Amino acid sequence: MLELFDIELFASGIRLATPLILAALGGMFSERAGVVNIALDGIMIFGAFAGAVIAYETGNPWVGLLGAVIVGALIAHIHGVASIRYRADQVVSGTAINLLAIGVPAMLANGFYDTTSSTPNIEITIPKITLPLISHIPYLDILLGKYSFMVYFTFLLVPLSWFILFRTSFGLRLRSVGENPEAADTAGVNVYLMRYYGVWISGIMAGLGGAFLSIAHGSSYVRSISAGRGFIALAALIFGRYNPFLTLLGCLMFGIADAFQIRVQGVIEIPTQFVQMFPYILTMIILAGFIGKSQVPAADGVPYVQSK
Amino acid sequence: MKAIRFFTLLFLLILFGVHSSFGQEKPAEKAQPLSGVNWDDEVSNPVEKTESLSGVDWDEEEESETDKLQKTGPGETNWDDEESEESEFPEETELPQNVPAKTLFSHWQGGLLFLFYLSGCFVTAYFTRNRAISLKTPPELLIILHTFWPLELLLTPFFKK
Repeated sequence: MLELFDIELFASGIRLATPLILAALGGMFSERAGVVNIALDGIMIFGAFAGAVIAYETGNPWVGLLGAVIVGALIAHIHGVASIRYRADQVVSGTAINLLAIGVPAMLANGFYDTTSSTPNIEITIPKITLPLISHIPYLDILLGKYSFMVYFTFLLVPLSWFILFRTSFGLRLRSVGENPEAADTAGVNVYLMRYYGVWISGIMAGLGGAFLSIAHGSSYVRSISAGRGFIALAALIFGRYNPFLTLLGCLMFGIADAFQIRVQGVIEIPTQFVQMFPYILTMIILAGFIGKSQVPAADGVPYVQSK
Repeated sequence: MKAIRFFTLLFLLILFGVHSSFGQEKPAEKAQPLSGVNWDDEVSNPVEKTESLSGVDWDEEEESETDKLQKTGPGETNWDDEESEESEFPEETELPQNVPAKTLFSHWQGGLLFLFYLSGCFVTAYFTRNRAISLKTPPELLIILHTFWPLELLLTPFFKK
C-alpha cells in the first residue's frame, strides 16, 4: 500500500489539479465580485467541447484553446446578464447553464460528427515542456520537470491572480462591489460593470480549464469530460477562503485524491465504484466542515439595485 | 492611440502568418481531380500487370531449385550470391517528408497568438476604460466587445465623447 505514495502520485495530482485550479481561480473572481457562479462545471464542458471541435477543424490546438476561452467567456456572460441585469436567482441561473451543458454539446456533436458521445481525436495537442535545469535533478524532474504548457501557465496564474486582486485598483474595486456595493457605488465605482468583469474572468478561466481536459490532458471531447470538477473547484475555493494560494492548496489536495483513487483501483479489494467516490466524498466533508468557517463576501449572491 | 494601432497591426500580422502557414498545401497532399484520371492507363500498366497463374510452369521452378541444391549442397552454398541477388521487394519510393521543424514553429506561433489574444482582451479593456466606447456602451455589450477586442479597436475611433 505504501508503494502507492511515490513521487509519481504527486506528479499525477498536479496534472489532475490543473483544471480545478483554473476553474477555482475563475470562481474566485466571480464570487469576490458578488456573483455566485455555480455554472463553472457547465462552462468547463462548453469550453472543452469548443476547444476540441475548433482544434480538430483548424488542426491547431492553440486556436482551439482560444476558441474555448471565447466560448467560456460568452457562456459566463449569459449567466452574468441573467444574474446582474435581470436579477435572476444566481444559483438557478448557474444550474440552468449546467443543464444546458449536458445537452447542447451532445446535440452539436451529433450534428457535426454523427455521434453524441465524443468528438474526433485531435492529432496535435498542447505540447509538453521540459524545463532545462530541473529536468536533470532526480525526483524534481518527475515532480516539476515535464508538464503540459497549460500546467505551468496555470501555476503562473495563481500569483498573478493574487496580485491583481490584492495589489491593484481594479482588484480593490472588484472586492468592494462584492463586500459593500452601495459604498462602492457612492465612491463612483460602476458596480454592474465590475460584476460583469468578475463573471467574464470566471468564464475565461473555466473555459481554459475545460480546454485543458480536451486539448492538453486528453485529445478529444467525451461526454461528462468534466466529471463534476467544476463543483469540486467551487469546494476548493470555499476551502481556500477565496484566497488564490489557499485555493491552490485545496485544488492540489483534490487532485492528489483523484490521482490516488485512480492508482488504488484494482490494487485494493474494494469495488471500483467506491474508490471512484473518494474525491467527491472528500468534497462533501470539506464543504460540511469548512463552509461555516469560510468568510464569504458580504454581498455574494445578492443582486444589486442602484438607488436613484 | 498609437499603442492601439500597433497592437492591431501586430495581431493581424500574427493571424495571417499563422493562417498562411496552415493554409499552405504540400504538393504531395494536393488531391488530383478524379475527372483527370485516365482509368484505362492504370488497368493496362505493364508494371502492375500480374502474370496469369495458368501460364506458370510450376515444375520448372521446382526443378531449378532442386538442381541447385544437388549441385552445391547446403555447405557449398554461396551466401554472398544470395545477398547480391536482386531484392524481391521493390525499392521504396520517397515518402512524404514530415516537417517537425514546422510543427515546432507552429506551436510557437500558436502559443504567441493565444497569449497575444488573451492579453489583448485585458489590455484593450484597460486602454478603453475612459474612452467613449466604454462610457457609452452598456456593460452587457461592452463585455462582448472586450471578448472580440479587435472589433472593439476598430470601433473605438467611431465613438466620440
